[in-house]
Amino acid sequence: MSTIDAPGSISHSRERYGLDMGSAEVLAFALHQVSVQMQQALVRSAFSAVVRDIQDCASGINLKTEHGWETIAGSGPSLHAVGSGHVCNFVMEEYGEENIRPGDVIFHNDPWRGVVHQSDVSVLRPVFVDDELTFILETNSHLVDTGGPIAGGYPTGAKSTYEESLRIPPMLLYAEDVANRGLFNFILESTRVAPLNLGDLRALYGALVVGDRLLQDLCRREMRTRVVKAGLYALDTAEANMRAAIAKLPDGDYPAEDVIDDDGITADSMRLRAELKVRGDMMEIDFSGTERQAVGNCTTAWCESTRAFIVAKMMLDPEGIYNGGALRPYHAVLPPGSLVAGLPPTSVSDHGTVGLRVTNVVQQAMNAAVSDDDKVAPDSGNTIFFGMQGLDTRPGKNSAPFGSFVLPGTPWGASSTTDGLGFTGPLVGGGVARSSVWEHIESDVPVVFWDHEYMIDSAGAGKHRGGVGSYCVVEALARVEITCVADRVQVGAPGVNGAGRGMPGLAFILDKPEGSKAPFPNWNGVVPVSELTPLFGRFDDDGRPDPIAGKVGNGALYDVSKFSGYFLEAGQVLLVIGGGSGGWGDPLDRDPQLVLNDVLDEVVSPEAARDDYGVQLAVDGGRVVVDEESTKDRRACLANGSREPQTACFRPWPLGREEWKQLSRPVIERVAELAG
Amino acid sequence: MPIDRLVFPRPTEQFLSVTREETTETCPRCGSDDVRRYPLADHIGPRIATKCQSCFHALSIERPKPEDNWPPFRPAAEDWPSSRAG
Repeated sequence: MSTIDAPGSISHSRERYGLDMGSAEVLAFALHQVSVQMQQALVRSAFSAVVRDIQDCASGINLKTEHGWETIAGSGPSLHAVGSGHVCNFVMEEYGEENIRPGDVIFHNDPWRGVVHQSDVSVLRPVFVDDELTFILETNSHLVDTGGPIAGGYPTGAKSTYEESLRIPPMLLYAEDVANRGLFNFILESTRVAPLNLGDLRALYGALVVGDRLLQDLCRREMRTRVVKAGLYALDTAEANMRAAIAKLPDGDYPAEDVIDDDGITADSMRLRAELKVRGDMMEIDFSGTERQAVGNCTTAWCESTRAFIVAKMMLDPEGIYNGGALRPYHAVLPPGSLVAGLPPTSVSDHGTVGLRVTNVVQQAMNAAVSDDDKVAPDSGNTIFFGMQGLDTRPGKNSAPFGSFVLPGTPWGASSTTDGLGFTGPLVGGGVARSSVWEHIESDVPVVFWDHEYMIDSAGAGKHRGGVGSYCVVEALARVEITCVADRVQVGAPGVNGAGRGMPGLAFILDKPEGSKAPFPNWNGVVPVSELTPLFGRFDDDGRPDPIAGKVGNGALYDVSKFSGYFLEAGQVLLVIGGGSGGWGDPLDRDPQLVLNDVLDEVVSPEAARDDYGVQLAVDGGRVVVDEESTKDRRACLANGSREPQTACFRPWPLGREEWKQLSRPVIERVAELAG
Repeated sequence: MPIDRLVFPRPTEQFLSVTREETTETCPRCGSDDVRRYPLADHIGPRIATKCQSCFHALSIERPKPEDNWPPFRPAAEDWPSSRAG
């Protein structure tokens, strides 16, 4: 936990908070640790894979200040953790502080009261110390199912909240630690996977009890007033750090635009616009000029757009303490009825499409405000979530209903110091929301995951390349209804400072050959076109993936990248290729040895090394090496030509098995052939 | 009445903007007379700000009144007396 310059001086902490500097820091850290312990308790005790493995959940501690309830400490994805203050203010204002008692727990899942979609449920518990309401604790998580037509909460095709899951305003889930049986019955009897939901609801409650006990103990040992003042110190410190970081930016207005591919109803793209305005130590993000809310379900309510603040925090003050205080110098201006602030009854169940892209567009605006060295390429903005539901007809499963969903992972963009990370959560998740654990999914759902690997040539080329995208191969063992939510299918995630774009996402269906154990020929995600039925993506007229000259939906089953109701029959296989992220800097400046390492790791092909990076490889003494002289000449030649940043994609994609066999030979053979 | 603020049609305009209303105020910090009043979201929630556009000094940050229509949605029973059950 860092300290601050002026307000964080020793004399300042004594004068303002009545605490010496050491005590203020230790107690602020203790509060943070309480939120960590709550989060650990939640993850450890939850039943569902979405909480236990993906960790799509958060814990927060809120304190009443002169402004309202503010999050003094949070743990978990930033989207949820920093939103705890918003949720707390909505609920406390509506429910009434005078109506709550020790041991109460209030439940709600309303996107217009602070959560991001109905699947993310929130529970709040007051902490009374010395008979005084002192803190409000909040835990939240994605419930596997909250009812409606599609398990998992992403009913693509829904146009209104009336067509999807339960939407519950603030209600008592526990009254003085006694369960409200009516609300439990309502939730569990209206959803598909009651045992999982009950386990997760109890985990959410248990984490609140853990936080309550730890805070009571801390206040008993350190005195309530000292703990409260440490909370104020933590907020003010985060604010001071953020203000100091903003003040280093030049005043100005920095616009950026991006597009959402489609809303799952029509293939029309939709514009997101943001203008970052910096004045002194304050900033605003104004989303004026953004398209009206979608007809389909990919709009988001205002809270999530406000939390795109995380980009500014991570770019300007990545090491500083992170809590609601950091949000004080930041305002979001959100046109009601737009994609970033949809109005009821529009569906916001697929909040993530706009929610993730909002962080991308804010990052692009931030990149316009900072120096070249401080620019960071956005993450892929391509979640490729897919949900699965049906009846489990495997032996011993008694045709029980199942519901689950999968996040194959989203790579991060590159920066001036490093390549982008692959296989991680999107930035808005703060890197904490994770990929699924396949064995756990296989236990819950009649599927087998054959592969989850890096997709070759998916990272945007650059001096530092973007994060490598992944591909995922899943075979159905019984009939499985698929919901898919993807974006960045039309145009890949942008690079910065002359770097290339990441590969856009796409997906295919395959029929496993009769009697074959392995489903199909696959080399780093490259499968012959002859084996594939395109599901969605951008393809040339021969069916090859082509992110530049190809057409969206060309020969594919869908011309949109969001849909529900596709049935994967037993023996059919789904191949999903997640997009890569953008690079940083000119690819011709990349260390040739790093390019060689990527070729040996099979995340960059020898052809891409030559064409995108200007690196000529050779075989010497039975090893693949960089041909230094040829590389120098080739880079000089490429540098003199007119070059546009490339969009990553494996080329040439093989049409048939024979072509595929040639491409999938060992790297050393391929390099020898190209060098010859 | 909150009951009238539960559902909203999809806007007819393709692109939407927030209007920053002019005021007659002068910024006490920098002296600019470009002071505007407009809805925004801050660390607490939806608010109505009166802010200098030159230096972003906030002359006021207020809880929105019903007529501000921000946020447009309001709970159906918002203005009813509250009880132990909510």
